[in-house]
Amino acid sequence: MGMTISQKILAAHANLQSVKSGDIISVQLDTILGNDISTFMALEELEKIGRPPLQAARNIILVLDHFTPNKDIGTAEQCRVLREFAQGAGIEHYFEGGRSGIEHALLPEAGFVVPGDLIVGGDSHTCTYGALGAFAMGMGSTDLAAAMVLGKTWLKVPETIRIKYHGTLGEWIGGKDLILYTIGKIGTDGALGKTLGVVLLGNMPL
Amino acid sequence: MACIIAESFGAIFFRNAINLGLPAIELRDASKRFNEGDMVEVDLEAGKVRNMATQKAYPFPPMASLVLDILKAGGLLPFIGKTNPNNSPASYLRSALSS
Repeated sequence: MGMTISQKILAAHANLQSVKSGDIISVQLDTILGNDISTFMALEELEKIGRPPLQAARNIILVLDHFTPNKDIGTAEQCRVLREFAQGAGIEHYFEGGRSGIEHALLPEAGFVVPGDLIVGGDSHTCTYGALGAFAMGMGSTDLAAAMVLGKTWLKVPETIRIKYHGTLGEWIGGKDLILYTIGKIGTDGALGKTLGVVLLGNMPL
Repeated sequence: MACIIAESFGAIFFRNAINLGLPAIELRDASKRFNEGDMVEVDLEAGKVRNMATQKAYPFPPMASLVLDILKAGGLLPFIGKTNPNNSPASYLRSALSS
């Protein structure tokens, strides 16, 4: 049986010929994304287990975007700890202040995402990179900590829901409207644990 | 509790269970295959659940070795703790988190 794009990307990163939905696999990660909230929480987890060395430092991208510019002393302190962490751990891809911006806009703009990549991030919007043909998912801070240490993670191969859009978009109607309409149809939990495969037919713009 | 067998799990529950070291196994028609009080044998590595009362065995998709290692270690945090056997702290936090 043929594989979906998600299954192909996951099989390639699991070093397997093929995978099917429901398989529980271990995958090598291209990119591990952390921000100033999730990475701080991940550090607290790593503190508990004696600060293991990060085997995947060069695959980590750290973007301080929630608390920069710092709104008070507490957030400034949190960002200082993360800055020292990035320096000490050898995290080359580190962004803050004037070099930063919203993490999910920054990664594609800076060329960090290419089709076929496998990306995890400590932020629920990490799935944004699906738009670029990558497989990307958000995860909690303990999983983020483990991914930073190991450079890999485990996951269950998701089922895919194929959605076909056809027709013509009206004036001022864009992708955001389409996905909000779709969520209205399937519900906010309509694709929980699944991937959406989007097919554009006719005059639908990419 | 040694293990949970169910017909399905919510995605977040499933991830949390494994990461806490609790084997969670999805088995089709699980509720029809066991009666109250039946003894059940689970082989995580082979991907097999056996009902000792009926001697019937049911397969489930085997888990990746990483997942088995996480379960053996008692969870994700203890497992990644083991990647640092000498317990020599990496230098990445030069100041304490509490400072």
